[in-house]
Amino acid sequence: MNAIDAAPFVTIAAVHGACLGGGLELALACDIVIADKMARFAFPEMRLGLIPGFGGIPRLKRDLGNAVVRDLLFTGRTLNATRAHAVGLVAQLAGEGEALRMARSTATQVAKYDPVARAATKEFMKPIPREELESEIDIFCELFARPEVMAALKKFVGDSGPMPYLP
Amino acid sequence: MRTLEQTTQEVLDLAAKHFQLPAGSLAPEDDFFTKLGIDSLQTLEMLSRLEDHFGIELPDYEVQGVSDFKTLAERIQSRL
Repeated sequence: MNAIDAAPFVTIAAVHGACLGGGLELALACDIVIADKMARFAFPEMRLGLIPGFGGIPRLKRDLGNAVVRDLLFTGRTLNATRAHAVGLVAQLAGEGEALRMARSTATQVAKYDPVARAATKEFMKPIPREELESEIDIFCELFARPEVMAALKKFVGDSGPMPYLP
Repeated sequence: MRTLEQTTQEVLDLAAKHFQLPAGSLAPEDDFFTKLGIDSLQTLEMLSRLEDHFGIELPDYEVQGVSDFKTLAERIQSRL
């Protein structure tokens, strides 16, 4: 994730459907998020007694206001694409089934610019929160070692209900 | 402002259309998990469709445990 986040080229995430946990961590590492209007975003890690461990919180904090970040983390609820667009998580909202086409079109436009200027813009606009990233993975590992997490993971895997990401 | 009856009917129509069922084949008291046989991903899709249609946000935990269209419509109505 950190390598994608800091890559010297522009990265674009095309999101369709459920973008939860690791999927959201990956999207947040990208420079531009383009989402299908049916996409939904969430960090359900609290349901497992965990926090996102691969940069989710620092990157979410970097891009969004703290109120939204806390709401997402503390409730584990999903955010629809329209709201995600309104709060700045999503850069472009695509019609159903159009996210990948829009991402390709955006990539074509981005590629027209000088690569050095692109890399400089990225470095300036998207600082890597290194200390917070290290701190997050430490906390994640600490939490992961608890027996509560293993019990929650077993319960999660066996949950065939309609909302297994919620307790 | 929609009445609860109107909201319920719109929910039923939306679900029937989304899951390609004949119009009028769903009733307010129907258990939608049994009737539609939907899984967790389809539940999220349905949530998106409902939010988009009614122009509201419906936090997952507010509809968690709800399994019939009538109660779902009531939860939606409280946010209109």
